[in-house]
Amino acid sequence: MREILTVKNLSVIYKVEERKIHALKEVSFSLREGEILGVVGESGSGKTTLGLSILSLLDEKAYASGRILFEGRDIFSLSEQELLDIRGRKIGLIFQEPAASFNPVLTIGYQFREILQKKLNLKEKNLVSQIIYDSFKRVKLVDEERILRSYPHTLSGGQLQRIAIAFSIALSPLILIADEPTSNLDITVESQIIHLFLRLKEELNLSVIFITHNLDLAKVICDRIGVLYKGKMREIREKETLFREPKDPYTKELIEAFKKLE
Amino acid sequence: MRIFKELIKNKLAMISLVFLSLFYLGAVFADFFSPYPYHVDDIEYLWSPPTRIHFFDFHKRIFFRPFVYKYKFYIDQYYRRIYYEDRSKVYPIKFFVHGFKYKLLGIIETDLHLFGVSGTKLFLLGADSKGRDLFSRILYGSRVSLSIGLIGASISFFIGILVGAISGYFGGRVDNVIMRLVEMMMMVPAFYLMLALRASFPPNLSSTQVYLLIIVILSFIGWASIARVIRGMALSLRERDYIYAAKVLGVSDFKIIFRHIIPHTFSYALVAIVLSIPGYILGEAALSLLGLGIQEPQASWGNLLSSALGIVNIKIFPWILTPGIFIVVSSMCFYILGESLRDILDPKKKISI
Amino acid sequence: MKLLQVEKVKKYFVHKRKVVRALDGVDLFVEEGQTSALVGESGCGKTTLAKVVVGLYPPQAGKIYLKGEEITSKRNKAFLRRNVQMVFQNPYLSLDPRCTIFFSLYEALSIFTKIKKKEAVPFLEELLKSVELPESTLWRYPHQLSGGQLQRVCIARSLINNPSLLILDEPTSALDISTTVKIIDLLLKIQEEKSVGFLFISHNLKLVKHLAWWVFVMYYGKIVEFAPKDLIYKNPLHPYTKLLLDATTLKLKDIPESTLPERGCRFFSRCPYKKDMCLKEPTLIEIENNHFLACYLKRK
Repeated sequence: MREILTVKNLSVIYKVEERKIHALKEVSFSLREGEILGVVGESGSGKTTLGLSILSLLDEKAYASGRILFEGRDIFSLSEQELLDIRGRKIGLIFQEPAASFNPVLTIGYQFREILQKKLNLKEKNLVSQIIYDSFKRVKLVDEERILRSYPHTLSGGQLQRIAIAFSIALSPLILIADEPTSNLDITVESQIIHLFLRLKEELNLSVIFITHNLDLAKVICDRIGVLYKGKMREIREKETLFREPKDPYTKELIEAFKKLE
Repeated sequence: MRIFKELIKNKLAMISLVFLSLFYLGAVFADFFSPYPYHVDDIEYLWSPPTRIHFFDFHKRIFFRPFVYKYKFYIDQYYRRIYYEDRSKVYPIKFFVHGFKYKLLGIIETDLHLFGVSGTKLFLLGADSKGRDLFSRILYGSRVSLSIGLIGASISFFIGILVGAISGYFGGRVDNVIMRLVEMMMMVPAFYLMLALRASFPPNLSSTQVYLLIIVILSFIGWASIARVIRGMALSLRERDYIYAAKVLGVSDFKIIFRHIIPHTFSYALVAIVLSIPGYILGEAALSLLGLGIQEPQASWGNLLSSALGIVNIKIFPWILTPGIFIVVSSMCFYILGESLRDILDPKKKISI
Repeated sequence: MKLLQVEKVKKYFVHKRKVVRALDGVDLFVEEGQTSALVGESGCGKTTLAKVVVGLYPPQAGKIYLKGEEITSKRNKAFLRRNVQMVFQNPYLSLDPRCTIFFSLYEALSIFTKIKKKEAVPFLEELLKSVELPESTLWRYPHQLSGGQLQRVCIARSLINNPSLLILDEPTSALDISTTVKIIDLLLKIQEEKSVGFLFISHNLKLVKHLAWWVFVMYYGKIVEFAPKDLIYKNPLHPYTKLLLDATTLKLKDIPESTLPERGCRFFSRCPYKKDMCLKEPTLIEIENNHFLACYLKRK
């Protein structure tokens, strides 16, 4: 299978008050076209940093080295203009906290239109509305008129996360990075969002990097799983073999704990 | 410790700290630094200008120690005293001289002073209407002005934190009653409240009584706003899990307030104390300026300024404004220090990954 | 006699001029030395119930008995504090960040026992050992410890005065899997040694399976089904219980958003089997031996 994104020797260091914190150490992996790659790690393992560095969204206190190859180019070598074209347009990102992805003082409709107009350079209002309705239908949001008119805080977490997904697929990206998209949701809602997610992935032929701490979830939805621990990618294997015969001692411990809870 | 380290990095804050240390040093050792007692009049030197300090005499001969000339005066056609230097004799400035007797730090009896001249008088910052040395009076006055700031701020913080923490922690009816009281206090303009409170006490009190009274009045005005902010903090602190945990364990409300609520408001309180001190210094100055505060011959920066009330006086004797400079500089130092402390303690600035 | 007996407890809050019925007549019990699990999603009133039982919120109505003594009244406050303790969801927030572990533990210890600080040290070291922490932990500050270590400290602190009931409010939801497993093992060990009754609150049915004797399923302030563990897992009857079980294995597809209807069965809007009769709220009835259900589905 074709590799759509390759990360080579990615290291990220945060400098905090003259201390250096190694968030990621020499992480290498590649994302194959059409697969869901799970990145599993406990809190503080560097999962979120990984997601952010792929879009070159790290803040100024972070120093990254290594290469991230997408469409034959290194993400780190791109200009801000080229990055804008990639962010959202070719690589979408869904955050853990649904409310954090929206501006609280603007309506959903306004934010959606703004993104579409900016990213796709769309001038015609009808076309914009058409795209919005299509993507809302895709994520099974009924009552879109009301939702477009409402402010983020009036909607539930599940609805917001659906809208966030609608935002990201409206630009028809090739890759989606989902950073714990369901960990702040109730389990019944989580289960629905995951199903939606899987369906969309098939429909749109997305390649997904799914960052999570939830092995249950990873086991159900991912094709391959990488285990991240203290900034290092300890093991990256096909899901079945990982659960059957983990090699790395840390992964072993994790899988054992997981099986104990089964 | 972290606070101190970051404070050292901040140049402006360090300068302020140095200035303030000098001021307070001057206040504590006022008797040692001042050449004359604050209350001794001298008819020879009414409104004498600052004495010029010379290193060369009019023959351009260099002297190895700075000296002054005696000031004499004649009366001009407006019946004003015009002072001039009598250059016939040189009076060298001496260091560690013996002068009037005082008790250093209130314990050690001595008559040693940092500097002085014998045979004439040395007025570094000029003299006032009764020929008293302004420099000495400013030093003695700083004892009043600077200590009112510290003590007043501390007292109103003590009250404010206590009331605020109790109000916020218990909430409900207790909170309602206390907060309405606080709002009533805050509604009255502070200056009128200050005047009204002063007016409710007899005018002829001893200087110590007046001093204490001013502190009480200023603290009485100051605590309300602090109580309100601390109450807000306590209101959010009491929803923390560790407070719930302490309650479930059976820790008494009193202990929870003192161990788990109040210590968490300290960093805010520190900043606010420092920022509020200028208010007390200015408050004392305002009362004394109006003649309601510290009374003559006692000195405070406020009542020293009161002689500068008339525009004519300021024009002819500009040096009587120097107490004002001290008020401005010390207030500014406290503001700068407070602002820097706030920047350092601001939790939003802490970096998290 | 049951260790804890909660009877028809109600707790309403007023939020933005609307009355939120956080607890709307909850019945629940914990047997001596056993674990009852309270399961439900966020916002269903689990934590409110815990806070009512430990006396942090006064209930609007209903009675709570511990060993037969009513504990809602002020008179029994000391009895309540001695016998009921609670471990909170987020260990990072449950210890005062300004106090050493020693101080936090000593504070708890000194409430019922008069003991000097020096004399308390060996006892507290022993206590930390019993939750598998090194003695040196005593002199650490909370920010120097990991989440798992902090939760062990919290458990140790709650056990300091030998309570007979421990309320565990999602004690592992802020922790990683491997830590969760260790904490669960520790809790089981403690229960065996000290025969403490647990009220284990969680949204995770997978976790509950390892601890509980009885499982209570709560939905919008009311218990909709309760039964011994095996019955709940093998034969869930309430559609909501089924939903939760399906959700833990990620089997759900599309269900409506949860909304609380004005009247009738709380689950009405999401229920696939709803009928007209559901507009009248069903009560908890014993459907089979020890299996209680608030649904018309299985009634004859």
